Amino acid sequence: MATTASDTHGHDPSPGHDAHDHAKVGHGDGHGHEAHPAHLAHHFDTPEQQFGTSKLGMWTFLATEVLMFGGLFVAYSVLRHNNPEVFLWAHKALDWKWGAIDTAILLASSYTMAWGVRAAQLNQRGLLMFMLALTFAGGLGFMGIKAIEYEAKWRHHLFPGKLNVLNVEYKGQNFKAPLTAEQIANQKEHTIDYVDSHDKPAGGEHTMPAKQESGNGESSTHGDSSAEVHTPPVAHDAPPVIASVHAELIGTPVIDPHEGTANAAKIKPPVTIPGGVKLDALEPHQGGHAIVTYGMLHTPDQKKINAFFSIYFMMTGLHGFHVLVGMGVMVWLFIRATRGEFHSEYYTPVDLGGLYWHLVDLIWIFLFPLLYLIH
Amino acid sequence: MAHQVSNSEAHEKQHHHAVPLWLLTVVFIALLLLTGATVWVTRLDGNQVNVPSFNILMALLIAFVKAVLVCLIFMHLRWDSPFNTVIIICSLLFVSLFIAFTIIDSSMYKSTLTPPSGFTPSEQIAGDGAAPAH
Repeated sequence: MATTASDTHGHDPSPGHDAHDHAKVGHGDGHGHEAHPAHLAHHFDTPEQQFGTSKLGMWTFLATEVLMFGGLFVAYSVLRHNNPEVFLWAHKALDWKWGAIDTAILLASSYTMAWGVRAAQLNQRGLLMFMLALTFAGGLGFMGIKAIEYEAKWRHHLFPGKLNVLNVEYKGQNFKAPLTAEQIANQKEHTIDYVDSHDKPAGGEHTMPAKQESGNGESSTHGDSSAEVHTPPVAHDAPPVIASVHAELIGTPVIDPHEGTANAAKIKPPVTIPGGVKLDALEPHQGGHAIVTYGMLHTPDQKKINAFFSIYFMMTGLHGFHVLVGMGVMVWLFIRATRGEFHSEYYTPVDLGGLYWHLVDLIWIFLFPLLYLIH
Repeated sequence: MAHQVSNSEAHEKQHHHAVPLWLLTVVFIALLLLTGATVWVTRLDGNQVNVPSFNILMALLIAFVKAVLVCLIFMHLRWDSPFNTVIIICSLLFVSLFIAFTIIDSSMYKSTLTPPSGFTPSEQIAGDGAAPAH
């Protein structure tokens, strides 16, 4: 007996079908119950039950994803708990502005994704396709910025693990043997003191780019230049910290150019001693958080810089991989939407794909402050 | 349909509810503002309470609010079957347990770690600024 629809039982409407005319399949082949939408699988009573079940399954999967990233968050927590100074210093290699842009892009892509689901529910096929394309573009922008950031790290030889230039095991040298003079020189040569916009000496200038030629004795000039500063007077009356890579990193005391004046640091500036100064001994200096430089780290901490970069690359890498998968899902959904497979009665794949994308956004919402905004 | 059960009414509601566009937009703008707040809070100048632990707490608190917004509105949990919410809350609870217990455990063993070389607390006293002036 001929069925009422040209498609076989259980398949989606053929591309030629108008989206509203989701074919009901007759059961001349002996099913014995009334016709139901083609997209309804047999083991469900109603499309609503099927949809609810799909959602349940997706949320269970999302729970497993949360736990997977949770493992990495645990690693982050332990590493940061045990090495706060390393994190406080090494995070400055990250630019928080890129992170903020990334966050905004992902939030926007979540917005367009949620709008896309809404469009599918309202039979707005063109709008759905447009929203899926925008979401894909958001993912592309996010990965593009990641590429920029990663390239910048690698250019500075900031790799995870052993290859990290700041790790004393660089080039496979013996970790336990005392460093030779040449190794020390080599290590210092590659040490870059990243600047945080909070690391301003009195006068509000940035003074610590990598390998600053002016050397380490220029702090007094900052007091002179305070007249030219545009920043409000409350900001950054911080004692400058000598941190040039060309200076003796260990054993160099910190000079406060305002010593004896009204602007002198309310707490004594930290002094570098052989082996570095433990961070939690530093009180926040007036105007902000304590400045940490590479030279102020304990020698063992200086050997553990890769701890930060390892967790950074692992977390953002795994997250980036998820974004790539999400982009693939968007493409797949887009193709299906082109064929008119989604309508107000059946938009489950769009919904579930949206849930996945929102989870990716959620994870980044937590990654951003934990990696980029450490102060 | 012959197999209609009361459950399907809840599913029916969940099935057909489209989030109002104005709500999506408002939530999106709120999320952007909260992102700005996160950055601002962790970079406060002149904040005498600017200790690292306070910063991360504030940032995580704001992140939590953002997560709730995304979950409830973007991910439709507000109108979904409550069991979906139970699932996600449970997973977050377990992650919290995971982190908390590991930190506790790690803290207990921190004192047994090799102390950094060359560090003596008594040498923390700030210098007299005796380094040569410039």
